[in-house]
Amino acid sequence: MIGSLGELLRRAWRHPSGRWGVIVLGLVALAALLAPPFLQDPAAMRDVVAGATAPSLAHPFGTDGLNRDMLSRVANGARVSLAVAGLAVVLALTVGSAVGLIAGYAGGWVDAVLMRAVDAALAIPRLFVILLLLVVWERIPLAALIVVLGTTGWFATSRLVRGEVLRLRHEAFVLAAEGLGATPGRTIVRHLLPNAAGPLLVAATLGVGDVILLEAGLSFLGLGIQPPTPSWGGMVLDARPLIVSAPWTALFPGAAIVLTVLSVNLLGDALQAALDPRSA
Amino acid sequence: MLITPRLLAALLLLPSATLAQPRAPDHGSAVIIVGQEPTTPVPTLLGAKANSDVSDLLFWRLARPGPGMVTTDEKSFEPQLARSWSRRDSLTLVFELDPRAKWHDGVPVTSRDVLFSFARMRDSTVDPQRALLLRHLATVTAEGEQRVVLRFRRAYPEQFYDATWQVQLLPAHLVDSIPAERFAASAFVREPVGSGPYRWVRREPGRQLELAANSTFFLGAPKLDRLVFLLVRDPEAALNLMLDGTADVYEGVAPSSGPARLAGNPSLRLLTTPSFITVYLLFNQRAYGNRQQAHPILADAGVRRALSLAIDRTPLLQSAYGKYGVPTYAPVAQGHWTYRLVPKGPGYDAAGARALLRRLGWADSDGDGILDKGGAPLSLRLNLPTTSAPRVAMATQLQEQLRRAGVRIELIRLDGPVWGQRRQRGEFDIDFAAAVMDPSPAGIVQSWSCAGRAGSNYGQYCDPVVDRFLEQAISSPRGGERNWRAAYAALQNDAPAAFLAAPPVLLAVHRRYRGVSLRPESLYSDVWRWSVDPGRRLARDR
Amino acid sequence: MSRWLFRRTLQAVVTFAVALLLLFFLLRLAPGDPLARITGDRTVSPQELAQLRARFGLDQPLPAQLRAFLGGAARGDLGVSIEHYPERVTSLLRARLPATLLLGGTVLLLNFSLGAWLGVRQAVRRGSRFDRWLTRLALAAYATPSFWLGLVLVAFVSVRWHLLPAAQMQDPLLAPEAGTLARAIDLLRHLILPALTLSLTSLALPLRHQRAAMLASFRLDFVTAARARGLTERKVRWRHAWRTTLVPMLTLLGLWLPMLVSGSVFVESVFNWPGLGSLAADAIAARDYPVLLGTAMLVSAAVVLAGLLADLGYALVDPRVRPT
Repeated sequence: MIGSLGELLRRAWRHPSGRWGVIVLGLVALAALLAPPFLQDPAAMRDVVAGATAPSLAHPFGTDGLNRDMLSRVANGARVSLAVAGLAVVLALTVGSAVGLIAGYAGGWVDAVLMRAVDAALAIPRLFVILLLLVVWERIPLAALIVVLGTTGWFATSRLVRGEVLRLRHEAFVLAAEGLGATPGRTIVRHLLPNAAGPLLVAATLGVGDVILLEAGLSFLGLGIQPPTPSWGGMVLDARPLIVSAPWTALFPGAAIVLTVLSVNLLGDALQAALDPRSA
Repeated sequence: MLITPRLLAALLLLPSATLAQPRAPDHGSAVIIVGQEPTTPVPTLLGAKANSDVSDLLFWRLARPGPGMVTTDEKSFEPQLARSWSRRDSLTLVFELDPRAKWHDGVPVTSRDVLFSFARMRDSTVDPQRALLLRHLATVTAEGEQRVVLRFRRAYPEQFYDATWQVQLLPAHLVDSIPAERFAASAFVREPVGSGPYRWVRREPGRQLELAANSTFFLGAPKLDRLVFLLVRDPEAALNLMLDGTADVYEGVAPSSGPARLAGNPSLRLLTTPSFITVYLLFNQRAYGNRQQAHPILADAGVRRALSLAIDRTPLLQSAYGKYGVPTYAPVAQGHWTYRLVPKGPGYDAAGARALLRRLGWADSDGDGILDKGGAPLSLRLNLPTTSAPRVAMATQLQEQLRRAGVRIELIRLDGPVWGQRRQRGEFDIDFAAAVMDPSPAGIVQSWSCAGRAGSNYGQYCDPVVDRFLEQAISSPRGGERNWRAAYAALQNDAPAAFLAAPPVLLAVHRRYRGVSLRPESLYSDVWRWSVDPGRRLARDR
Repeated sequence: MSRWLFRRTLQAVVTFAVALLLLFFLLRLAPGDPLARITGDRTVSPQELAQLRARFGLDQPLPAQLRAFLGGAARGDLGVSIEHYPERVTSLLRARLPATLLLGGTVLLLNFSLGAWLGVRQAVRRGSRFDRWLTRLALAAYATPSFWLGLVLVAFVSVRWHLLPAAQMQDPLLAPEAGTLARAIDLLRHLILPALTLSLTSLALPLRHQRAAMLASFRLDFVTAARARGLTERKVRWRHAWRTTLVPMLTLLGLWLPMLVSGSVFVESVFNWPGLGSLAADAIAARDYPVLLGTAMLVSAAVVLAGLLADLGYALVDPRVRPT
């Protein structure tokens, strides 16, 4: 299993865009990890009345409308965005895999009912599902937001895993293993998962990009991550009145979103190309 | 059929007639941005401010207060549909209608309309709030077509104000056949007919509302032929529409960032006018969410006074309103005539605040910087509506200022509807409130008297002494300046709230308009006097 | 064929019904009282609140509520808006639908035509600098949040350079008797920026699909045969190879519609475009969940319908897919 995954990553690294994606993503992650100790405390208020100041040596990204250092806010926002997206995607993959496995293995009416439900869920745009939940919920804690984001994104994964289960169930080696007395659990772990790992990884990387954009959009609408926790979408919202007079306040959070999502998507693309070279 | 064929023909032909003719050089049009939709700008159905702003142009009153808004001075009022008035005795007012005044369908305004309108407004099933305000009115009778006699039950200084401000005239000949309970759904409300300087043209729901100048208006036809009230809820989009030239007037300019953005545009200018808004920190005198018990910390007037002392208003107002910050020290706004009577109070005294708290038994026994008494820390929750940018800007500074005095403030951020709900239920320690007050200072009783506790006195403040002062001030025959001063001083001493600001209205207006004047109680009511500078005319003005 | 059509339609109806059930339970799932929000700025008397509670059926037990909800949906009654009470949800949706159709339709047209043309060029020039850089650019645009791009465009194109209007769908002063040409031009001027924003941020999808489908079609035997027969490259490309990509592109429609709707929530609110997206955004701010629910239902119905039509188109075009 490790061998095939490692091979996949190696092939992705050789892909020029993939390499770029990994590097940029690595930088963003590094900035997120290093943010608190090395940069100024984003919640500390300096002379608020001074307002937004242009980028300078003291403030490489400038300051926002309340004179808070933009670099540290963007870096801390990276923390929040990556953490939320990462956890949400892990949750989505877990739930989706579980459902896909159950549907694929059980077959019959269980499979039919589950897949019908997945179809129905896919018909409702993800944003609306999240909006409906958030609108009725008063003040959503961060953990609940992650759960909401995760539980609205597993449908495609479940289809994918179910497809893999159906494909492999009737493969010779699986039948052989089962004939030798292997339990379904063992079959799953030793045979299904390694084969599905590739597509799942691709789905994961693309999913992270989607969640980052989604979370930024929610923060822009005033839902999602609440201040004073910094979030890129919230920063763009705050920068709206200043976009002409202080363009850096909107530029840097926006650029951060673009770079992160782009790098994640490039990585996903490279992995996809490594899995299926014909689509390159 | 309420709309006569004559009226229909007039309404259909008039717009095309006015637009087909070439316009005079100082005529033009105006696009006014509003943040809320004026759905029913018809008297008795008003509700929101958006409706009353438009209805003040369609439906006029007998008279209106003068620019100083001294609601107790009869002589300062300006004529509208009544040309003159006189007083027969301390209970009786006589109004002479202007014979030139006509409804938009051409029918003259007569005493029958006055009688009908008053009857409707005093009907408590139609508009209970207004009926309450008119409770001192005994009878309304007509003496001929042009004269109306109003008789009151008691003599009080705002008699004239109540007789005129509370009632906008409705056309009896069009409305009296519609029963009150079917009025809201009637054809009249869909196409109102009034007597004001502007006529109804059309409303596109969710988008805009259009009025046209009443060319036969008895005081002179307005020079702005078309008025469009454009609905734009988002303040950013609104400002962008001003900056890109689509709109001409906008009242929601954010005081902190707006002026800077407008400075870059040479065709717009910023006007300010005093408002009736007050911003304050309301202290809950009952327990959080439980009106049966007194608040463990805030029921003590000394603590409240100390909190008020610990607040330095100058940097707060600066950060929220820039140079447009106007302080207030009582529930009085800059637009009220009693604003100048408010004593300045003790102001900012951090050391005094700490001393006062110490005298009341609060000390920092565990060395964490927060005072405590009997094991309980001096910790309070501040409900903050995130929909108000100035209040959000002030909140963190307030937190810091009070922390230095040894008080821990926890900010509870809530969005508009939830914040309002918590306030009504008394689920707050401190409520960061803003109130749009009545033009009359007597409106103070709704929120700050013992009787108001059932209504909008959310902090449950009650002091019979203050109530007495207010009663005396309201009923005192010559305005009662002394009584108002005493009432405000007593309020300050009790400190039911820490009063912070009375911010002005900031209006962005296109420079091409001349004769621009704004009324604090009804912003656009003088638009019919505006004109366009011929040298700066735009294509849309032709 | 007609049996298949019947079954497929039934499947679509069932999917939609399940979607409705999901939406219903979604709302009941979240904590908090939806009606409590209404006591915002307006003072609502206890009697009015009780009336509203009865009107929305919130005092009923859950099965009764579900029955009322489904029954209402079947009748076409989606309830009453909380913010614009007593305006009906269906009339609000009906009023705002045309604007979204216009914007969405324009974006669809733009993306599919541009995506098709560029995607084919990419496939033909596979591996070239053009191919690689276009992919990167498209991906970068895809990674851009639509609300951010919209803000930037407004700030510069409208506010700074005064080239196009900043918001709304038409000039408020446009006279009612203005000619069709003047109206069309005014509409176009207002349409450009929002359509551009939505289009750019989602172009990558049809672009990539077209490219992949084109590359796949190049490998097909009959294309090689056409080349061998001596047809010009252009004829091979457009008359033969591209035709086979129509069907895969059609399937993209069902996938892409939810994305378009979600994107329009942000773009319409930034540009104040009076469509379903901004209706949803306003409903969020006002906590007007009946409107939000109604919009979600309408959009789900549209997605299911689009999927059904795509499948139908697929079956019509490609006889191999049709069951006998």
